[in-house]
Amino acid sequence: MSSTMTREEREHVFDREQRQRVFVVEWFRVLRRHRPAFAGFIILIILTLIALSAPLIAPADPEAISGRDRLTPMFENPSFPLGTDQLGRDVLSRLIYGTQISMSVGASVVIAATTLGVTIGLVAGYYRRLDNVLMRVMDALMAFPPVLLALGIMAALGAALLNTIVALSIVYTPHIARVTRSTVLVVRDVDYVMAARAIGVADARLIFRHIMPNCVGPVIVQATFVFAYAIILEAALSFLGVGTPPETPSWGNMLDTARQHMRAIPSLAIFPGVAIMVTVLCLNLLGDGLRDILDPHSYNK
Amino acid sequence: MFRYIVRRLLALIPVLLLVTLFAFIIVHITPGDPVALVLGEAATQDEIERARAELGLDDPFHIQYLRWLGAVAQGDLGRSLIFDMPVSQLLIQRAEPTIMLASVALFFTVAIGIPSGVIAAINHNRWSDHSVMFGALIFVATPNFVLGLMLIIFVALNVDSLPTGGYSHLSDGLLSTLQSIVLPAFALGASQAALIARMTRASMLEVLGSDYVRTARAKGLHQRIVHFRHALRNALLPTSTVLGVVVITLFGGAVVTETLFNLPGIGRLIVNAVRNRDFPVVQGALIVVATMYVLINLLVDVLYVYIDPRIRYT
Repeated sequence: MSSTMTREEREHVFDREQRQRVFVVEWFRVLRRHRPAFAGFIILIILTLIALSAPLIAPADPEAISGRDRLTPMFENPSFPLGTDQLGRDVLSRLIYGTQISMSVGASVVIAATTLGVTIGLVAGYYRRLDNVLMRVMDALMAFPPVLLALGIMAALGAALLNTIVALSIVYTPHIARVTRSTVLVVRDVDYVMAARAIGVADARLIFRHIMPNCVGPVIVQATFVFAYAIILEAALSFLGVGTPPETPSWGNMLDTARQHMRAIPSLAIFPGVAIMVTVLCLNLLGDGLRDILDPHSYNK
Repeated sequence: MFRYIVRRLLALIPVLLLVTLFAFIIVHITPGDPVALVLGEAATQDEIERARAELGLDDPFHIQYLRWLGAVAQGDLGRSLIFDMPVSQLLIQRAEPTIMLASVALFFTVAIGIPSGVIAAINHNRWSDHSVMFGALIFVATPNFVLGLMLIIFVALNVDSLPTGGYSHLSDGLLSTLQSIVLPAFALGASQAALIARMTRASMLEVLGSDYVRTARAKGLHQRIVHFRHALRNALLPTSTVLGVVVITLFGGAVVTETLFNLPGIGRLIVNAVRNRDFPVVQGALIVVATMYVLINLLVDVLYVYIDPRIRYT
């Protein structure tokens, strides 16, 4: 196959690959110059690594119950460095596995909400006829406070991890759709898009080649915040007992069980609480930084 | 102006219809037959079918929706399956703690957020600016239930006058009500205060860099007059537009805070309704809160015309 390519074609392929690589390197370089965002980014990478290698680094089975070792305070028993909960489960292992739940819920929600939201936003922004219908549906979804809408959907679907992801994706799709649509509205009347349309470029190609690339920046920024919201909301649902099933080690579940033992062992609540804060903080730093980088007007405000 | 309000009200109709449709769908897609659930296991197939027909559950989806919508439009949100009481009455009964919680949280949001933002902007790039922004960063990243737990552990367990939970009704005295509400309200309002502080700082900085502020300074006006009479007034405009969103975020957050602090408000009612699958309550609460949100947003937009004389709606 490749031998039949002309030299020109090969150069073209090379060119594109190189351009993409340069693009990634350039992003990384810009990000590195923005210190807070880069710090957030690095910690998020570490959290992702912890999540991925949870089975390797967790000292114990996070769901293993031990009747003898209930409610061990931290630093007391070397086999449970951060202590145990009321069922004798290792807090450190549960924290590590909780990273897995939070990061995977966040990532899944971001992927689902971005795919749906970008599609809806592109269609609504480009086809004025559908705009009204689609955006009224988005408005209606955004009229519910996120917690309440998620609770309602969870009531209908039942408490399970997959249902949490479905519920949160529905909650945050409008956020992405709105950002995408507003970018499309700006770009659709720009000269080069008009020119492309004038020479007869098909709608699909116009949308994907000429309009969508402009949405990448704003959508990435919004997706970063959606990641953070999703982690908070997943924890909130689990905390309320309608999210992740109680035996699954999630930070929200840990906070819920910690409530009964706040006086005796406050560390049960503090560790998962701090874990949520750190993760959300890093995502916010990254999101703020990306916004600064992408929008020169807001830089150094 | 009048025409603007009318047009906005008309534009609300499709959104509100969709809101009710979503609330209806959420209950409709729930697996399990509600009739079989209510009648119990002893009911025969025949009885169940008769009850279904009587309740109109065999009608097509859109007929059921329209009938239900007709009732909702007349203020009938159905009856709770658990409390044997109309949903609307139940919501009113539980409103006091929620309204108190949200109001005090809103007070914290404004009373902490705006001054911190102003202080940060006036001392741009000095240590007070940096510490306000650092604090805002931390509080924005702290969900209300995490902050609430920390407040219980570090404050409520050590300070006798602040309870770890429970609510004292207004009829038992304002002071004890405030005592029971101050920690949850702070937990709820802190992240919003942080957002308001950031917004106020950003818009204040923008205004402080504008020509008319420079003119005011150049003609030798006292700094304080420049800051508060010239700059702050305009800087507060963008902040005031988000207050509607803040109010509704507080109501949403109250769901979690009330559960954490055992406040018998609408939030905890909803959580328990979800746990017990008391769908009419879930449905009713969704509709009431969403309608409130839409109306508050309209109100903010209308008020904006009075606050900012530069804006003219047609």
